[in-house]
Amino acid sequence: MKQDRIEERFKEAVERAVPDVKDSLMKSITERKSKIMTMEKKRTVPKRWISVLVAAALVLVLGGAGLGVNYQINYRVDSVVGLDVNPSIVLELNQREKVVQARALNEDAEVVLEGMDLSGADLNVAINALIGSLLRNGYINELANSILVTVEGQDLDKETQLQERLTQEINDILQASSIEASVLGQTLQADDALTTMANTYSISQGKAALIQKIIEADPMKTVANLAPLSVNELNLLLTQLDVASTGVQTTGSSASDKAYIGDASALQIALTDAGLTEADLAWKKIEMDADDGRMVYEVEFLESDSGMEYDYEIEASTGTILKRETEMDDDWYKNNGGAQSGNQGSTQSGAQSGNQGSTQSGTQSGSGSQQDYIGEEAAKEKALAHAGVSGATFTKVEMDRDDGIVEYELDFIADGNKYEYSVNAVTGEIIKAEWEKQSTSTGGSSQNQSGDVIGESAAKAAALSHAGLEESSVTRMEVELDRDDGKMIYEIEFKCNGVEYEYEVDAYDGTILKAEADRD
Amino acid sequence: MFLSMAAQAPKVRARLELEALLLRAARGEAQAVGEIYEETRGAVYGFSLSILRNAHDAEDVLQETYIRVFENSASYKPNGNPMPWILQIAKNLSLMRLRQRKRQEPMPEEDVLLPETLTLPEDRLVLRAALETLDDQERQIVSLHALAGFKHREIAAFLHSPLSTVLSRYQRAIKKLQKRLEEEGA
Repeated sequence: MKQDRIEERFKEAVERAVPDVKDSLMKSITERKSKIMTMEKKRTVPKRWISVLVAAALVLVLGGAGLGVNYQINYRVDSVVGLDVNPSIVLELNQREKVVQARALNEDAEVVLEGMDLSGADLNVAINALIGSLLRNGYINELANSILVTVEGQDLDKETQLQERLTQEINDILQASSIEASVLGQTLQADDALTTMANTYSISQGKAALIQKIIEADPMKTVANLAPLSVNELNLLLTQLDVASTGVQTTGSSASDKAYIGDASALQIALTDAGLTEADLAWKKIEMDADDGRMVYEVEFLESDSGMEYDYEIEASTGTILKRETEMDDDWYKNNGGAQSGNQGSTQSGAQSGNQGSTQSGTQSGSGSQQDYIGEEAAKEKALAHAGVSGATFTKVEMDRDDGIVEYELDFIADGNKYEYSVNAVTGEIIKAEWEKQSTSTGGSSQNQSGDVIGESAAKAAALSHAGLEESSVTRMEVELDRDDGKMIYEIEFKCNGVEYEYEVDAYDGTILKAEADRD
Repeated sequence: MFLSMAAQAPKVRARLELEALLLRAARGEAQAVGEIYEETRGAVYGFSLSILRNAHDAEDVLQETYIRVFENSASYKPNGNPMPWILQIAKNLSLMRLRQRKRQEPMPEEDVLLPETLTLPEDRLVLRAALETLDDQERQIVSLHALAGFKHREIAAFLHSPLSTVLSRYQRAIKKLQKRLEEEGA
């Protein structure tokens, strides 16, 4: 029996052996759940915030010896109200809900606060003034109608009450100005993680808390991608999630998407590009997402006939296609004979100067001998023809095996855009095609321009030491300097005892970014 | 990185889907645990069996694991790959069971107990070969690779062994199985 087959047989045997315990499992879980629920109910005594606010502590320290009762009442910060639109403003309140201090957390906020002295003002007076200024300065309008209210303090019940009162009040003020606002409310307990995140990305704690909640609900999102977004943009992403579970209170209307082209247009743009109509699709999925600090539509669909999966990224404000990926659906590919040179494969290879074709008919599943492969040049031609470009610079040409299918992996740059292809090495069929518009932003990391790369030998050494191997014991060593997401990396590959290693090493500091070892 | 991520997309997606289920479980959704069970029971059962070599015990651990998954889901820290977390629970429970058994039966029972649910003779052959010819660590490595889809690097991290050890033991285990099965005429 072949080695590959052994593992498969083992897996099948175990899968057939697994006893079905689901019913009794679900029964005991449901029992436990009801037990836990009743315990939790008993525990709903109002929780007190343990953490003392940094601001409060600071005021106390500054107050020093003259800490009289009057001082306590007037200047002691009892709670903090954060307002985030894009401007981020913080109001520090005393026990009587009068403003101790109003602080601008970013440049936009300085514009909003300009010429205002809110110290000593009643909270509702201050809020009125701030909302008025936000409207006058054009930070809240029908294109961006979201505002985030964050209340931070030591008494959860009190803060929740204050937050609910404020969201209502802000809704009323904006409604009076004929703005259909979407007001988000949350209470907050500052912790180290949140403070670090807020400081790292220069955002308010309130925005940091909102981002944290979005990521908890959707772990695929990253802080770096979300931090540059406005509250309205975050609100749009939030509406795609299970809002109730995030603990954010939403009132008023929904986040405005009037600045964007909309789901339907995004789908249409993608379909037109693919040359398909909705009737051709087995399924589709359209979602808003953030990439590089801008809003995009992620449009995915599967074409029923070809089993081809499309994945588009479309700029939400302009409808520009930023990325296109097409890939044979894995299951479809296997079931329809991608590996066994099925009939649809042969029509493809027929067009190619086919000295292969006939040799690879039998039962071999893509693991045929060398002369069965179409060759690198033919693969390149296929990819270029598919991309409709000429004069490309190839950055990677490799043969690889993926799920038992031998394929050429080709990366190239043409017209300033980045392409990545996988071509079936036997049939010449395009398995995957990816096109990415070269980022026009100049926001590449600045450290890359300065300093030197560590060099191939240092990169090799880093990878080998990670693998615990000597260079003398490995074969087929390949080192390549590449740019990935604006970052310079070394891609290193080698083999040892039938195991294939793949590394990505930071070209500037030698950090291992990716390590993979797999049996060939 | 882009290419390899795209190539691994189905796997990455499966992991993230599993993570999403775990987060739902953390919110008290029993249904989500049922779905986690459907997705991962092969790996959990096979891995437990590879430690315990006893189908009765592995079945108990299988059920207990998902109860623990439910109870502890709130403490799971999302990192994009929940499988190691789930299998660590299965491993702890299996080792606990192993210790209990040793206390109760001072004479270690060397016989393998195959699952009764397994009716196909060739399945019994393969499973018996794995449980009888491989040592403890080899069985765990093969299970993690074959059933949980772990890469060698991930196995090394999970078992706290050097990658080179995992690689050589994996090779040896597969060769041992190959030999045994050839002897048996499979």
